[in-house]
Amino acid sequence: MRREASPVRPDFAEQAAKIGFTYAEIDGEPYWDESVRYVFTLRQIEDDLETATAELNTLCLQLVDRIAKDPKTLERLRLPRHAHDLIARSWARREPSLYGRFDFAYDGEGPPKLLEYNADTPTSLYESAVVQWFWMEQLAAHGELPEGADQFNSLHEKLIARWREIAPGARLHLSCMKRSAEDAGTIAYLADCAIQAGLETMQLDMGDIGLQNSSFVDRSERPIELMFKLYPWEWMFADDFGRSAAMFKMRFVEPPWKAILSNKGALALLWEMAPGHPNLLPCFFEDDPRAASLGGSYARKPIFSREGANVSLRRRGEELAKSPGDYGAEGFVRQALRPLPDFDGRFPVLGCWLVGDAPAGMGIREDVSLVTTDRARFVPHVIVG
Amino acid sequence: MSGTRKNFGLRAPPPEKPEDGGPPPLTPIQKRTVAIVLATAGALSLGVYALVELQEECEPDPNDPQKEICHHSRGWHSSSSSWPRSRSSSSSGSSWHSVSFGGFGSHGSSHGGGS
Repeated sequence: MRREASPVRPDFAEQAAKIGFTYAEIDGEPYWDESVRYVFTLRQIEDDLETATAELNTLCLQLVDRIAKDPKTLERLRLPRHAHDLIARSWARREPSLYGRFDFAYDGEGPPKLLEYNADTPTSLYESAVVQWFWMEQLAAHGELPEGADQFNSLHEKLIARWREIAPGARLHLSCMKRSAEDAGTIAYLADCAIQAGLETMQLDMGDIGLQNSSFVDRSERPIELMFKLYPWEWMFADDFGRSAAMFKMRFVEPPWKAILSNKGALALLWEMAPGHPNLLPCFFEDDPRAASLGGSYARKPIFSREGANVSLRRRGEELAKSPGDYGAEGFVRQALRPLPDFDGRFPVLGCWLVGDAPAGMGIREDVSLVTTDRARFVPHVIVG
Repeated sequence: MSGTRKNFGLRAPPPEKPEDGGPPPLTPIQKRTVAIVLATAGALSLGVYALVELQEECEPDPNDPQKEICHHSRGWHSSSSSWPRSRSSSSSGSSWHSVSFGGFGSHGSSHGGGS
């Protein structure tokens, strides 16, 4: 694994516009950065990253199977009581998942270490599936990549196939907070995949979900029977409609049981279930006496947190990095410190995608900080050799 | 290590051919050349992607002038589909035709709920 300079396409803006990539810059800051690229060997992808993704998915499903009907453990995860039955039922029915993203610390040597699992509302999907694929094709066409260069990326094909598998011919509503361009772009891309799979799709803002008697409807009063929501489960549960009987009538993607895995407390439960697993880091709830075994070197993460908010890193008692935010009221976990590798002063986190139960690709975001935040830049990758 | 090279971007099975024949199946690479365009129809409207190859035809909904019905046709990928696209803005807590809205979406900053 190495980071190297890469020629920027002179017509990048035009190419981005052509494929509808509207958030190459976010809040005036560059987000997509093709002036550099990460290069992997096939062995690193296959033996290390793809294998770890598949193994961790298996572990995660085992964990859900153990605790989905266990109110005490769900309370440990600070999941509200009114959600327990919904979670248990969704797992009993094995309601299917569409996708998820494992974030790894990895430097090319040794096993990748799981930092967190974005099981519920992962983004950076479009740039992983489409934007970096076009980038590779265009560089290869101009002789800017070694012959045979490839990419860990079958996301597009797998997403279409997965929609066809889990919702054949269905009418699908996709919702998010539309004021976020990244989130709107993500559901638009997933809608496109669903259409290619033969589904009928409608996109709407979360605020445009209506409650009529005990059913959810859209602004046209059409019943919402199947909904992809890019809106975290813990927010769903806390919102007014989260207690309604309609929650039991609608099928969600991602399903309610994903609330277990998107919770940082799952990192502690995974370690409890599979201590010493090569892809896991020791992790404990902060109020667990065993957390003391980590000494003064750990990452402190809120049970509910996104985009690195309210994460702090400590080494031998000293604070290495800290990010602001509004999370943390529900408690924290402490995870053994595994700083991201340093490549030219940038710290990449490797997001390995899962579609259904299959490893499906990778997207890399790098930050100037050890904590990957929403200011991180997406950098493409290739497989060479 | 299997020793057999995997084509990560190329290894997906070929798309199924429709029963009525249709044009030759696209290769995965060709599928990726399908470009996607994001159109934003105003500050409170919904963003919609459409394939460049996609032909979109919209007409007013005779039952509700606030909406329009858009028909999408995308070659052999799927049959034509249509859906009404609301152009009304959300109104938190409002009631509309005995429907309550605004019961979801009270969380999230400008960065939304993605991660």
